Amino acid sequence: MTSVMDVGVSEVSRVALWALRGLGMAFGVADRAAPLVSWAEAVEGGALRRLREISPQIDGPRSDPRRSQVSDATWRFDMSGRSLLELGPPAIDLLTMAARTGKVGRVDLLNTLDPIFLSGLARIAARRGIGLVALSTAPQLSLCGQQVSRLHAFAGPKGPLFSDDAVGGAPEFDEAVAAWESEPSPAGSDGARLSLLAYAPDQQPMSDLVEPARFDAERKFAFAQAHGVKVERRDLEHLYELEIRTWAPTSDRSRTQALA
Amino acid sequence: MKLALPEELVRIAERHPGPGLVEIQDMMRPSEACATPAALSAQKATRLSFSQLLARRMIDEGWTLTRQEVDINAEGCGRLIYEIDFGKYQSTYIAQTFPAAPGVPNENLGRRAGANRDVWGTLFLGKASAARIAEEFANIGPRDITTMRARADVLGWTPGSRSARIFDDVVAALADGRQPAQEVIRRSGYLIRNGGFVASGRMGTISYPGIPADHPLKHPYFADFFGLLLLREVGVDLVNAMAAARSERAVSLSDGLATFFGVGNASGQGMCVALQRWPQWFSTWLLVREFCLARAKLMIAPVGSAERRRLIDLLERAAEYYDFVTPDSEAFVVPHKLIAENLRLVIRSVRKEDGSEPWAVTAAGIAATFDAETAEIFNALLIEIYPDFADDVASYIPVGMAIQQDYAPERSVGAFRRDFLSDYRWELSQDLGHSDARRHFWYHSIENGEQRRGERVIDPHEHFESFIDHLGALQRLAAILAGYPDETPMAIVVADHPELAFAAARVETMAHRPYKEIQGNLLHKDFSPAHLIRFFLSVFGLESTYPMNIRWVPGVVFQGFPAWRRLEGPARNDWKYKNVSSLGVAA
Repeated sequence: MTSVMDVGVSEVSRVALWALRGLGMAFGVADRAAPLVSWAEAVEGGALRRLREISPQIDGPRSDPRRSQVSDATWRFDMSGRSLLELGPPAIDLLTMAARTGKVGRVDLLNTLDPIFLSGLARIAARRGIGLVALSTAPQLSLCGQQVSRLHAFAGPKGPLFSDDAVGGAPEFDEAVAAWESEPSPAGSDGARLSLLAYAPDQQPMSDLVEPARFDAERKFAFAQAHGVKVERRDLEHLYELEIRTWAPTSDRSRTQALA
Repeated sequence: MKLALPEELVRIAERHPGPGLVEIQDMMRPSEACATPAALSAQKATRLSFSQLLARRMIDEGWTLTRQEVDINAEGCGRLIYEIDFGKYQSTYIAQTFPAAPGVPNENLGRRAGANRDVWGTLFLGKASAARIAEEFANIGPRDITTMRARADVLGWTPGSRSARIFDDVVAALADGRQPAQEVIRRSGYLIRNGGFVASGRMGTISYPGIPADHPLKHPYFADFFGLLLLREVGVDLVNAMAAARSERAVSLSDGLATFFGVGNASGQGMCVALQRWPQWFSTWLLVREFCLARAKLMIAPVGSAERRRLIDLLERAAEYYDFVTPDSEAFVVPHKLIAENLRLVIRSVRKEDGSEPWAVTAAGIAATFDAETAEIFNALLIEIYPDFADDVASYIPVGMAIQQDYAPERSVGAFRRDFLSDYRWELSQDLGHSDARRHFWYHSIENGEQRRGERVIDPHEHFESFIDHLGALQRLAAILAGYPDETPMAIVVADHPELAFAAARVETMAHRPYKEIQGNLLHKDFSPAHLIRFFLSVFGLESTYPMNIRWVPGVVFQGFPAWRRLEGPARNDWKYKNVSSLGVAA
C-alpha cells in the first residue's frame, strides 16, 4: 500500500476541526484553527506531519493565556506547549486592533513550535486589510514551501498578496522593523526570535511592487482545492486518530439516543 | 419592526413591477412566526428549493445523458457507464451494482454500513478515460471502505440501496411482462434510496471550492442533487436490465412509472448540527422564501387570470398527490388524506373569490382555518405562481450562503453590545437554568462517527459535544462581556477567552440579518430534531417528509421529474406534484 495519499483540502479542514478538539481545544478555537491547517498543508506542505510531531506537546488541559502586554501596542506570547493554531488567531486580533487604530502593532512569539502555520495567520490579517510582517532571526519561516526569514502579507486588489520582504508604506513601520532588528534575544526563549508586526490599511505598499509568481500562495491554495494534496499516510491517519478521540463509545444507550 | 434586506434583494424588488420594497418588508413574517422549530417543520418545498433549482437549470440548458454501457445480470450484479453533456462541460458517471445481501431486504443502513451498499456510483468532474474508468471500478468494486480512496477528479460518490419494500416486486413484474401493480408502487416512491453524496473533499474527492467557477454544478448543493438524480437513472436501468436478464418476455418500466419514482432519502439528526453551524445558510434560505411569499401575498389575481388558474391547477395536483402518496408513518405529521381534504376545501374557497383582494387575505383565512402544513402548501404554491420574481430572488442564494463571519477586534465591548448583541433579545432572555432546558447534547458515536443525542450527566463525552447550543453560546458571550468595562476592545476579550471568537463573529455578522437564528432551544428535553430535519429537507426540495420517530425522517426527492429523454418535451419545467398524474391513474 502506497505511503502517499491524495487528500482533499476540505477533508483536511473538516477532520482537523475535530482532531484539534481531540487535542483539547475548545470548539470556538478549533473552528478558527482548522482552516489554518488545510491552508498550511496546501501552501506550505508538511502541516499534518508537523501537527503529528507536536501533538504530544500541545495535548492536554489548557492553562490561562500566557500573554503579557509590553506597551500600548506590543504583546508577548509564550508559546511553550501551545500551538500557533490556538494562540495565533487572538494574536492576529490584537494586531488588527492596533493597526486599525493607527498604530504599528507587534506580537513577540516565544518558543514557537509550529511556524508552518504563520502564512495562514498572516492571510487572516491581509483579508481584513491589514499588512502583517513576520520577522525571524533564523530562516525558519515557510512561504509557499520556501524557507524565508521574513513573511509579508497584505491586501491586494483581488485578495491577499505575499512576499518575503518587510517593506511597509510608512516611516513608523520601518522604524519598528529597525528596532526589532537591533534587539537581543529575550531571556527565557530558545534563542530564536519571532515577531509579528502589523500596519494600517492605508500604509500598505503598492501591490505592483510584489512579484506574484514567486509567492502566489492564493493560486497555490486554489490549485490544491481543485487537485488535492499529497499527504503521507501516517500523517493523515494520525489526524483521523485524533478525531476519533472525540467519538463516544458504543452502548445500547448511545444507540437509542438517550430515548430508551 | 422592518427586516433589513440585503442590497441584492432590494434591487430585485425594484426591478419587478408590483409591490414596493416597503410593502414587502411590512408583509414579511417575523421570526417568531416562521423560524420556530414547529413552524419550520411545516414548511414545504418551493421553486427556490435546491432540487427544483437544479432541475430547472438542467431543463433550460438541455443537459443530456447518454448510456454508454449497461451490463447487469439477473441478480443485479454489474456495471453502468453514462456520459453527461452540460454544454461547455462533460462528465462521466459510472456505477457498480451488487446482488442483494442474503436475508430480509434492508435499506436502513446509515453510515455504519460503510461501502456495503447495493449500488456505488462515481461522478467524475470531467470525462474519464477508459483506463481511469477501469481503475475506478477496481477501487469501488471490493466495497472495502478501508481501502477506498477517491481522487480529485471525482466530484462525488453516490452510494445507494434498493427499496426494501418494492424493488424485488418491480423486477418480478417486469420480468413477467407487465408493469408493477398500483398497490406495489404505492408502498414506495422510489426504487433506490440514496446513502448520501460522498463529496467536497471526503475520502479524497475534489473540494467544492476547487470546482471551476463556471461549472454548472458549482452552485450550492447542485453536485449533491445531481448525484442523487443519477441514482434514479441507475434504478430504472437496473430493474429493466435485471428483468430482461431473467425473462425473454420482460418489459421495460413505463415512462409514467419512471417519472413517478424519485430517489429515496432518509435523514438523521446530524442535519440539525449543520443547520446550527451555518446561520448564514439558514438565514438565506428562510429570507428568500419569506421575501417571495410576502410579495406574492401582496399580489391581486383577478378571476380568470393566468396566475389564479395556475394556482388552482397546482392545488388540484397537490390534493391528488397527498391523496395518493401514502407515507410509512403519520404519527408526527398531518395525515396526507386530511391535507388532501383541506386542499380541496381551499380550492373551493379560491374558486368562490371575486379576485379583488390580495392573496394575503386568502392566506390568512387558510392559516386561521386549517393546520400549518396545509397553510404552508398554499404558501409554497403562491411563490410558484410568480416564477419570474422567485427565479430572480434565487440568484441571491449562493451569495447569502457565502457570507464570511468575522468580528472587528478594535470595536469596544460597549459598542458591540449596543450595536449587535442587543439584537439578540429573544436568545438572551431564554431561561436555561432548568435541567430540562439543557437536557441533551449531540456527539459523534464510535460507530463511524454517526451523530447521536446524549443526555447530560448520564451519557459520556459531553466535553466533545457538537455545536448545537446557540443560546448557550450567546448567553456565555453576554455574561463574559458583562465583566469588562465598556471601553475594552473586543480583541482583549477574545485574547482572554479565545473560544469566544466564534460567537462574537456570529453575532457581528448576523445581528442585522433577517431570520438570523432558529427560534428554539435544541438542547431542550422537548425539542424534536425531526422538526429541523423536515425543514432542511424542504429546502432540499422533498415534497413530503414523514418522521418515523423524532430523529429520523424519510422522504423522496425528484418525484415527478420527467424521465431524462423527455426533458426536451413540452411543459417539461412544469413537474411539481406531477408524479401521480404521470401514472394516468385517479387518486
